Amino acid sequence: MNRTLEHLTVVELAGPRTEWAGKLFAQAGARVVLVEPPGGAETRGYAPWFRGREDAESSLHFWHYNTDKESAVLDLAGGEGRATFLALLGEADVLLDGSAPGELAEVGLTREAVARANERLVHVALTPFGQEGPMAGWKGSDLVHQALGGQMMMNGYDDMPASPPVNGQGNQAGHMAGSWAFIAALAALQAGKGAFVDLSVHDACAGMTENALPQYDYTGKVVTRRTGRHASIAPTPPWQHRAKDGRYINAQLVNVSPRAWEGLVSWLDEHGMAEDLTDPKYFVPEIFREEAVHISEVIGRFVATKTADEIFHGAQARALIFSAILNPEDLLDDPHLAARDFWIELDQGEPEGMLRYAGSAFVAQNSEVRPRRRAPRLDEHGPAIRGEAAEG
Amino acid sequence: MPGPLDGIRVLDFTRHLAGAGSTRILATLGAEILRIEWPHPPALDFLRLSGPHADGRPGMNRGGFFAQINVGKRSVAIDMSTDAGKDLARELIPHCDVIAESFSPGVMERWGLDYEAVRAIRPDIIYLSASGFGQTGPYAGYRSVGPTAQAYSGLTATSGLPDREPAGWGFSYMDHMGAVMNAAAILMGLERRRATGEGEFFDAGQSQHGCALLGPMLLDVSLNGSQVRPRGNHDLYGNFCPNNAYRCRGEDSWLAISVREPGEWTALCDVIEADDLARREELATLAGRLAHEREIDARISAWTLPREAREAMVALQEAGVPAGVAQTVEEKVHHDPQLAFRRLYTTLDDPVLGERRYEDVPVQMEGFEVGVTSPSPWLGADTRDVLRELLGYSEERLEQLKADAIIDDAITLEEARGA
Repeated sequence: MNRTLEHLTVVELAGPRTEWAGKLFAQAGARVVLVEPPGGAETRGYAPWFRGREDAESSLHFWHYNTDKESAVLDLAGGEGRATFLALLGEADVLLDGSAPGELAEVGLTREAVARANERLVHVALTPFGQEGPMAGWKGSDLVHQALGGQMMMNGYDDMPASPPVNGQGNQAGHMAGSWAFIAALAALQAGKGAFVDLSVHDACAGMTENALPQYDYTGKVVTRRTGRHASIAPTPPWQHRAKDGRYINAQLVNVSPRAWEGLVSWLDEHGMAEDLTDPKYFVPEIFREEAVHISEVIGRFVATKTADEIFHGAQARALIFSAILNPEDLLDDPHLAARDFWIELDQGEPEGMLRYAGSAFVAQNSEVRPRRRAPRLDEHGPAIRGEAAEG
Repeated sequence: MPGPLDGIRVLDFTRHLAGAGSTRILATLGAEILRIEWPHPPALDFLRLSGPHADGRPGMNRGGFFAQINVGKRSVAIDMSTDAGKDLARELIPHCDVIAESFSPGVMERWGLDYEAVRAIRPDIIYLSASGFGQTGPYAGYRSVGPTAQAYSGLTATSGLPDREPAGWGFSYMDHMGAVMNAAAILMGLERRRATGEGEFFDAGQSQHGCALLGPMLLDVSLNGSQVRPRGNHDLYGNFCPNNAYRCRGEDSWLAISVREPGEWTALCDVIEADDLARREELATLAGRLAHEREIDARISAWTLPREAREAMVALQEAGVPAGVAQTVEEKVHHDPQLAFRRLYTTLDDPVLGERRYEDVPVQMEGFEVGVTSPSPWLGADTRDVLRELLGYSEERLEQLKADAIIDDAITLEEARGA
């Protein structure tokens, strides 16, 4: 089957900020040339490592984010490297550029010089705080961005005094910003002319805190963090309960339909654990709200008698939006992900052979969005790419 | 100045943040969004009734969160439970490039608006079906909101302090990222159409997108057989050290600091006046610092504790050390000079809601106008205009449709204020 973006060519300046956007293009079939500095991309040095092997070809971080890409080592400061880079830009649709503001200009690759190489190029510059402004030269990290962005102050514990705010793991600042880079690049392509996109990771994070801004804007109150559930301006009942097998359940009871409530109560009642929830008074929204803590406690006692899987599937069968809180390794044998072909096999070459990778979450009908090739070894495609450029 | 998506029109059946957030993104990039809705389920977006509300009074056009997600769109009130309403929607399809929906699986099919039916009318349509778990697979019928997707995907379990229950995410991260991924899918479809002239259908599952966002954890579990457990604010894989939130002066005030490069480490030591740490050879490497993580954290805390977080952040950043205050929304709105400089918060005057702040886009695009420009629509505000403009309906015909309760546009400003 053809691949969704197989007609596109993307040049990506290797770096932690661009790799997710580059992967989104590459898994959709775009030709993505990863331009690495002499010595290789910074993230070739990021853990986790493949079976403890700490070298430039064994970073699982790099493997994950660079599937399907080609690698060419180019020294942009001048000579052949610079010429090859400009030749690549001449053929490209998109440049993903995560360099710091002014960094490329310092080696003579000003924004104008890039545009001269290809007037139809969409140049997406991802920087921690944007090209200009009082904090433009500052540095970020996943943690720093989730702190400044407001995510951290919404995550944590309200039943543990003096505990810190908590950041979400998994490189999420990179995902928030990188996804927007992908979106902005594709949008600019629709206009059919070149563009310079100034994307700030800080803006991307700061703009994704759900209801925090409306709550503040309409009530003047600031949401504060609650254990395992939404930050809010007033206390809320716990959603998170521990199951018999020690795993946790997310048992959110927001906008519960009467049908779902009946299903829940009769389920508890079958096990003699409904307590007073069979009382029809709980259909009255005001009483439901007033008794929310009590309701949560009754559900918590029930959850404690079942496994997390029993609660997850039993609740969903009753139209409740509960889920087991799965650990990442649980996804390996999750039947739903298997049915949707989430996991795939990629050929890692010698000596590893076929290895199990996460595929993509995009399911298309007429074309395909999924990785097909392992991440490139350092400069794997460099000779061919430099040769092409020289023949010009 | 046009937006990059100028001329793209979306027939929008999405709801809530994960769905309607995706068409918000397209709207901020210049697309025209026609929200098809009705004051009763299933075509009602419950967010219209959710808080916070203007003046604390609920109403169909008084929800602040709904307003945030639906800026720049048009609202067309059609009763999709009627045959005439379904016909009307079908008549609009040839005029639209994209159709997006986020109902439970089966609703669009019941209305005769599933992908096969729609592409029979418009072969190059880009069609997005966004649901909790996707249209296929054993959990296809399962319900999901942001916290469900986060719990299922592993995002909740990996966020927290060691040996405590998960802290998870204190908001619907996967509603935001679901919206972002749904917008990305639509744009991939449009880009492919530009190249091939063909349409595309995307079956998006919010929960599956959550799984894909675990990042390098995915290969760590599949190839190393690891069990990933939270490490608080320490970097999960030790790629940064120190990497933590440090308590500062004042109530619940914290500063995040991340160090990777040797230069950042010596600069940090310099700022916190820890020459002894800077001199210790074993701390010059990341691995060495990881072995002394607790000791380093204690030294940094001792420095931050009597200091004001913002001043400490400036001192560190000016020395080249990545640092950031853990900001509340109030701090972002009033004390963040960079967000102010880039105008992340835009104020719009809504006749019902009043002057309100809206989150703008994280991108600036030279030569294009992008961003939040007009408030959210009242239910049915654009029904007549849209049917006149696109289908050439006469006033008579519109009156008749309204009399037959197929369409509605009845919401006047007074009604909107009171409704």
